[in-house]
Amino acid sequence: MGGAGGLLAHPHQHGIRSLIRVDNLLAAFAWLVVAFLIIYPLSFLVVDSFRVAGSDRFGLQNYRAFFSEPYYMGAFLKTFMLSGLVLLTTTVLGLPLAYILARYRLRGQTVFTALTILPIVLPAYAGAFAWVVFFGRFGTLNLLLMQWGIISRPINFISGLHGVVFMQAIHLLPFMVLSLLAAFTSIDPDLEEAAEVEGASGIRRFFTVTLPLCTPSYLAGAILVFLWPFTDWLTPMIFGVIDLLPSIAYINIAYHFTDVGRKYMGIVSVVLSSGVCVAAFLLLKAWVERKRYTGLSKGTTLGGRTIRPKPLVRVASYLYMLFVSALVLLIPIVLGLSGFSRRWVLTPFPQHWTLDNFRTIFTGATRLISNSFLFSGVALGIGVLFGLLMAYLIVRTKALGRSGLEFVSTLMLVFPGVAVGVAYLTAFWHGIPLATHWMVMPLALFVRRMPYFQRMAHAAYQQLDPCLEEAAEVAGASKLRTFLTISLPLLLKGIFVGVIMFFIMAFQEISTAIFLYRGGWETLPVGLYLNWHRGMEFGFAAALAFMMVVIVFVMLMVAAKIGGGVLNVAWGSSGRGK
Amino acid sequence: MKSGKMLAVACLLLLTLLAVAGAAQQKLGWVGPIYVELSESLKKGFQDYYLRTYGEPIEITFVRPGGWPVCVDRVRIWDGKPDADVFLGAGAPAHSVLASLGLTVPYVHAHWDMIPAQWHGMSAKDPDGYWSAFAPWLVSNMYNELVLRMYNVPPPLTWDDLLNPIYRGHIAMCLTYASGTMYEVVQIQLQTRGWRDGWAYLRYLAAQVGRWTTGSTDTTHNVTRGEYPIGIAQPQMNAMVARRDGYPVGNLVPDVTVLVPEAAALLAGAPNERNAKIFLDWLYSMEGQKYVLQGGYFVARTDISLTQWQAEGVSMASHAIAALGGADNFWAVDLDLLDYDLELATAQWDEVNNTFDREIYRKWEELKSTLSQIEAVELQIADAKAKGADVAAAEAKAAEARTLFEEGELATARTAVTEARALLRR
Amino acid sequence: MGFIDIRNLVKRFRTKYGEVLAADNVCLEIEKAELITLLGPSGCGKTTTLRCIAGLERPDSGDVLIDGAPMFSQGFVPPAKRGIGMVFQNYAVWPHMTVFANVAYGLKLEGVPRRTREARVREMLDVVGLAGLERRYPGQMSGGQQQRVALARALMRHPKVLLLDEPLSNLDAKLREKMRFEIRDIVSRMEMTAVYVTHDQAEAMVLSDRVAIMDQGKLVQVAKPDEIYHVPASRFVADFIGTTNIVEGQVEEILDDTGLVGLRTGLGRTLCRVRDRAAVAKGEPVYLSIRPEDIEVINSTHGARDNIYTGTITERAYLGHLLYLFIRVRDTVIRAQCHPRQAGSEGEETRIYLDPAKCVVLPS
Ligand SMILES: Nc1ncnc2c1ncn2[C@@H]1O[C@H](COP(=O)(O)OP(=O)(O)O)[C@@H](O)[C@H]1O
Ligand SMILES: [Mg+2]
Repeated sequence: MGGAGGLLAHPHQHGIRSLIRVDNLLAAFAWLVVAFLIIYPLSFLVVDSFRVAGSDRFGLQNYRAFFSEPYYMGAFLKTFMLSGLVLLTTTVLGLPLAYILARYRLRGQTVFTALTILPIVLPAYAGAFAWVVFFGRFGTLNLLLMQWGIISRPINFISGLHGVVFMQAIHLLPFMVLSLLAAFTSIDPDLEEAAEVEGASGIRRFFTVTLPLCTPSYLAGAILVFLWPFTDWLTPMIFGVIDLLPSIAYINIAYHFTDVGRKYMGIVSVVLSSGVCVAAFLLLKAWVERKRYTGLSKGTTLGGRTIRPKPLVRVASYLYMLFVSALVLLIPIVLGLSGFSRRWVLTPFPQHWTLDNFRTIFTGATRLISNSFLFSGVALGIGVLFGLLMAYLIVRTKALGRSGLEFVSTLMLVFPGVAVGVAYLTAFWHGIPLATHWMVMPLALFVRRMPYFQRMAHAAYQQLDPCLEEAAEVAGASKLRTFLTISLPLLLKGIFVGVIMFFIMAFQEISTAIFLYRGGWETLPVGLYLNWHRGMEFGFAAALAFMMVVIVFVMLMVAAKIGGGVLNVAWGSSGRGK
Repeated sequence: MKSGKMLAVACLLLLTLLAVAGAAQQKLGWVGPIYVELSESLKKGFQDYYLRTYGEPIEITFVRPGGWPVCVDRVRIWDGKPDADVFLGAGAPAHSVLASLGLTVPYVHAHWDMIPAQWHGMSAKDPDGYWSAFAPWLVSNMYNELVLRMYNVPPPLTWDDLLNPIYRGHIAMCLTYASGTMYEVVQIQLQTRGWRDGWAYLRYLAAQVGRWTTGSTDTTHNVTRGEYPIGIAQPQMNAMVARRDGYPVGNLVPDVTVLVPEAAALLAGAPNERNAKIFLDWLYSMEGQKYVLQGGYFVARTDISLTQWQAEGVSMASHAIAALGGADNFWAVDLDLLDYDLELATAQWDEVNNTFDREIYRKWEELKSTLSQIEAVELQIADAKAKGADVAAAEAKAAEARTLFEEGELATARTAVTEARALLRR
Repeated sequence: MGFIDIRNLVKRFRTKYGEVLAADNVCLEIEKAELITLLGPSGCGKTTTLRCIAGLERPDSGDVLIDGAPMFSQGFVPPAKRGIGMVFQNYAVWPHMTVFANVAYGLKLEGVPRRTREARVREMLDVVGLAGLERRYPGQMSGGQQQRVALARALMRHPKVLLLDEPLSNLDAKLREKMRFEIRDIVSRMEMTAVYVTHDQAEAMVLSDRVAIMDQGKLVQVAKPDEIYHVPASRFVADFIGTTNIVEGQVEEILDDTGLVGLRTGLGRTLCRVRDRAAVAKGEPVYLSIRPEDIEVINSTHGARDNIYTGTITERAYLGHLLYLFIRVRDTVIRAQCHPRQAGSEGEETRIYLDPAKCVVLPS
């Protein structure tokens, strides 16, 4: 149902005047932003992809080469497969967890939820490296097993595709858990109770009613999970898998040196894979949205159904939560051990303890922390405003070109950071010298991470009954007022998770930052990257990484505390039950 | 609400940032692929020096967007409007490209003569004054003592040793274009063995590889962590630093190798040209060189005595002496260096990398399986021969298969293997 | 000219499955202080029409005037400026606000001072029977209470027009009945013009001054409840409102002197009184509609000669306060409403009389 206030209804009747509606003005503004920050810089890349190496001509040669070389197509398929496997793993791991967190009244849910979010805060390689230290051939686990005489030769736990799947799944678990959590807690209990009355048993009800109702939110999370392997070039490389599109693209673009043909091929693979993925995603979304779920829930303060589980279920739930937490916590624990030690060399546990690394951080590296907060904070402010605007335009209006907006902004989910970095530098150094001003850092973060927020805002908006907004309009409120007093508070629960994810994803961004930073703009992840090789020790970097984890964990807990009431529900803790 | 708070915090931070940035100050910017340990060491040393000499502090920024090709690309994008003053690090190919594009300018620093022009036929500085080595090293391999001992194999001493089947699956090697060092390893083979035999060698070597890496540092990590005991194409000082940090690794300078003159150059259009020149003069001074060594790199001046530095208490000196096999100066190392044709190597960059990619990396699995089939049939032939059978025809076919393998005709090679097996059965 | 004037209102929706004409040239004049219901089966366009009045939907063409002022077509007046109050089907009470905040929302926007606001809200909550619940959140209230909140909120700004979209459809039967009268009371006490959308004919009959019946986007009849019931304008209306017997027939003769027409129907020859003689033509196919309560089941003697038929009782449906007899005359089954003590069992023969004055002839 389109609210009428500012829609474009019939240009043929109302002429030009109707085009100048508020919604269209807003859409035009959004297009301007998108054009300046996405289309303009990325067009440099797209143009490059049509260049013929070794001449000034343009042509389709690069694309032809991509399709005719089985290597690239193979990499494309392999990336798809990886995405599928990662999605499957996160779903299998995350579904029970989200259900437990949403439906059972258990102690410590807030902490458990916050714990699952932790891995994503670390740049990929910090987590991957921690795993090498623990699971590697001469990592803690293998060394212990050899010490105890259980094995004589080390076992390969993680090197290879399975390691990548495992690592990325752990990394992306929060997207899955949080979006499912939002879904589970916002389903109108009546709907489930209705099924129960109809005689559907627990499991049956779950699969026939609860799960289908969660589809929009599940998709919001699933798409983030699915597209991630198309941009994460580093995790696979650390586990020795190179033949994936993002890794190939990264190496080809970053390391082409004098071989521009190689660079063009890298760009072609970026352009093609992003186009295909986003188109596929939007088709899928359109297909799902044909079954409209609007007005699923009356509102918001509902916490969904929560029940006190039977003792057996309770114990099983705790065990499961502990299992997931152990997987997730391994990374910060290993990083912590490294951060507090020196010369941890091929022994199961560190031998020499020290506080030096942290001392160094607090004396010399506070700039990293303040930069990270500054850039992510500014990006968050811009991103939340813009993300809400986009969600509004897409869900609530028929403003011109809104599908195009959605396509372009989603595109950024699939564009690897290296491509964005190169494009920004090319576009914004000469001519428009944006890249000489520090605002380029938050702007780049905003552009890269906004889709994460937008997906969640979008899902939340779709589940908000338009009548609630119309009621305010009838009562005399302007559109803006309605938004501020009605929509926003009601959306808070849904977008709260998005805000958190946005901030964390901005906080951990490295691929673009590493291309754009100038002296003095180093962020925590950049510092982490630069300090990875202090000699061969990585204690300092590990300490930085550990600090990032701690900072974010504290932030999450504070947010959960301050948020209280409504926000608590988003965390799955039984805020209302208490 | 939350975002509002964030914004407030952001604005506050912004104000402080602006306040700090506002003060007019001496500045200097570096860009380059050197490890942060070196950049930190140099920062500290040069800031001390600058304050001591000019009576005011200097702010130094260092940007390292990635490995050396990434740094080169960065300077290319800057295109005459650089965000740094000095290109710090990388070997001759990078610097010759930068110079040829006019992105660096010649600067003959105060200690130019202390850097050798030639060493075993290889340049350590540019005759036109564009660049000079401040931290030279040799292309090496690395091994992990502990792991090799566990697998009960000795360290491979020469390039040919690496082809020994005992090392199969134990070698970590980099994609050529992702590492200049690896590219040099390829060039070493091509230039010493000739085009055909060079590629043949690289095919055999690829069949030994257990893991492809994406940079020489990636290789270093794999070796030090024990994931793979042998790493090909390593900067010589990596093993020195890893040993200092307690890792049981050793450096192997193979029988034939080349010099990488890790160099510094002045960028064209440098915004702080005066300070850049002061820095370059300092970098090659005795004091600057000590900070280079302390940053975990070897040092370039011909007049350095490491033993003397050791006596002076330069902590890295003893590690360097050990790593250089007891030599007192980097250039004193006694070696068989390849008469390396740098120009040829730079000119062939695209061609060799693409060939390597297509013919070796992407055919890795096929190379391994073909070679193992060849070896299997050769074993059968040897068996039969020992039993006194007439195997001449089969032997000839097997030899043909090997030749085909060396030339990259893998499918035909496997057909030859099948034929050899058929001949043997008869 | 009415207080609310809707002229030639057209509203189309384009969907993936084609175009839906939700309001098809709707013309309606609503008097001041009148309570009119829009009645029709679901999907007929009631809500759309109401939302066009509210300004929540922009018509494709047509005019909407309220109190003489153009709301649409010459410009577009947003909902907030139309002087309306609206009650939504699913209440749309804001779950994050207390009852007080919900009801006071509009006043606050108008800048009414806090004191006055509190007094007025309290007064209004009294009216709707929610006194003392100001601090509650909607989540802590029953459906009926939430509906009262919605009503109070809609009335708070003393709107010129109150729009209600199936406000009672989510309530249980008892409550629904009670609320009907309360709404009726409140609206008439406040002398408000109200447009009330419902698909429940009983609700419409009880509440309205006039009923507007819609079918497939078209307005098919607007009249007082009794007129709608007794003189339906079409087969659709007759069928939709209450229960009726519809018999197909054809005009056989027009008896000018008596105001009667003679039809040939499935029952035989039937005389009917028509209001407008010009509306029927000889030989024309028509429908005959007669309410079950207008059918007399007669014993052996009856004064009339015409419109008496003999049939067989096929079914007795006993409802306590009344009895339905289903009587087959030739091939047509007629439902007659009788006194519950009426004799006659299934299979028995009986006779019925159709009063010509109560037979309605409808165009086919
Ligand atoms: N926003 C919309 N988009 C598309 N079709 C709509 C929309 N709103 C209503 N319709 C269609 O218009 C017709 C009338 O709807 P509505 O006015 O809601 O009916 P009622 O209120 O009488 O049940 C229906 O066929 C409905 O499907
Ligand atoms: Mg309706």
